[in-house]
Amino acid sequence: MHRASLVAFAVVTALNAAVLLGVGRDRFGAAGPGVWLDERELQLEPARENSAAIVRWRVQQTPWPASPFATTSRRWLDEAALTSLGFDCSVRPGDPQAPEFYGRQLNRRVFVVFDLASDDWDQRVAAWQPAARERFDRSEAVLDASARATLRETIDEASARGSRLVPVDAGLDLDALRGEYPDRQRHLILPAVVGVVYDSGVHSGGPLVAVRIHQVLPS
Amino acid sequence: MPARGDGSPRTRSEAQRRADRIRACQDELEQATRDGGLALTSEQGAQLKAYHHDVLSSLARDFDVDVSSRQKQVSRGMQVAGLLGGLALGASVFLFVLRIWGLLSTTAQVAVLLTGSFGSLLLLELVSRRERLRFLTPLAALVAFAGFSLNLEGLAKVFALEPRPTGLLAYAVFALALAYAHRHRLLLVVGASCAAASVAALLVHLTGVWWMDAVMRPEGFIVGGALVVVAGLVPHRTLDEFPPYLRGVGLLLVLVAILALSRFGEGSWIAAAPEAVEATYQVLLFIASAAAIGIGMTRGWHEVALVGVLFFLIALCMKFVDWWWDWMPKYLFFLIVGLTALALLWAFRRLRARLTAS
Repeated sequence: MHRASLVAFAVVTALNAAVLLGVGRDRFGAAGPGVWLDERELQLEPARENSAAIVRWRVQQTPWPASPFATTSRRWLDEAALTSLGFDCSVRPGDPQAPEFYGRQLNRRVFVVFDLASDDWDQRVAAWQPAARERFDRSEAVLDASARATLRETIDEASARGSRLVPVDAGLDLDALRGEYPDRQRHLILPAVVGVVYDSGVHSGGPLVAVRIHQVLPS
Repeated sequence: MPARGDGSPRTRSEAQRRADRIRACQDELEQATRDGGLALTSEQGAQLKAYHHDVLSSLARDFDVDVSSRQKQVSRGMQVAGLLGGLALGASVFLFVLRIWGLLSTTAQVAVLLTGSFGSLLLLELVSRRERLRFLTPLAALVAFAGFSLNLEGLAKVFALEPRPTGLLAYAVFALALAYAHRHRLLLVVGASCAAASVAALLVHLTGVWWMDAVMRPEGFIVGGALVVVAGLVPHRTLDEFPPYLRGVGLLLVLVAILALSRFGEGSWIAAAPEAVEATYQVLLFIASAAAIGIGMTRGWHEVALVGVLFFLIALCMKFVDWWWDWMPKYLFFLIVGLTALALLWAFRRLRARLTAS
């Protein structure tokens, strides 16, 4: 057999062995307490050619209560926290260079802590809805009819359709985060791709730099 | 082969060139005899014909070369059919597996993935060793690559594995291994591109940035492409048709990355104003493509010269658009572009004449 063919066989063997050993160690290790999620957090992806079920994470993009206005993202990590994740926050948000400076920054892979508010979810939504409706009534100037209809639906059906996974913290060290958030049934720590976004603050009372979750990674 | 001396071919491409020379020599002799420029005795003619026949038979037997123009045409048709067939079979296997995927248990899914990759590799080995099935080797190599892709992506989906840049490296190593084992040029191009992309992804990954954002920092592709070009400078003793492909693909990646940075300065690692970055890379694009033309012409690397010419023209046209498109009448703009193309043709013709003289 040609030596290069042996390399091809070796690549396939090594790769499968590494994956299966890793999966075996993961699956047959000590299992933690289970977490009950439903379609609010796991979205079933429709597929025509694929008979397998594919689910994707659905998370709150901003800490509850989500802003119903045209702001890019509410801040759930301050500049110090963003810097600790590797983002460069050396330019003040009000600086004229800020939009370009933050626009050039690339996404990073970090661990995000999600608060799974399962027990008191309905109470939290009920407490949020009146204020959200009040802000919705004032949103005519900044949102078109279609966006307003979607927003209305989001507010009215938040309890039944909104994801209960609310991001509260992020870091690079999984063990340190788990030490800080030890309750595995309340806090999920998931790898995610996050980026910084610059919000000019036209509708939110001042410029700010916020974090946005682009993708929750499989883990 | 009769009278096998130092000039005997060692590789398939050398053998093909020898066969082509013999065919050309036979045609020219026939023409010269008809025109009365040459008169071989019937004994000399028969001796030369027998010698050529023996050499061609030997080349066809040892290297499986095409010894006639008709054979060449059929071979090209077989290559196209093999490529299309490989792609279609790969797509068919992939879509079939998707269709039944949800009906299988996890163990069965893993078994299907392993069988697909190992089975297609074994099939490739079998086909490449059997003389009568050897023409199916390029197709079987593509199916093996599809089987490997399915294996990798399938495991990632079944066990919810996070995508990593090492996956790209695995694709590169596998494609290159198949390319070198079975003289597969398409897989060589795929493998070289994956290798360059994995270099770019690993460089970005080392800075803490999400590795799939490597395309947003094209400088990594300049490094990856340059490494592929360097690989194309290494002499390939038996696979002498590979270096031009490596040089061509590597240079293409380098120049595409420079071109991207010349229009999108925000994508650079250089912490400078985007306009300054773009201007720098515009100059670099002219220098790099002109250098490629010069090196390609002097060294006889046609692929390097071709890629250089292509990017030099793209760079020139872009500058013309930047300078004149908005305010100049369009007929004048295209007149200038056409005259510039004619000037370049004239310059290349002079260069060609000088190369011929030297």
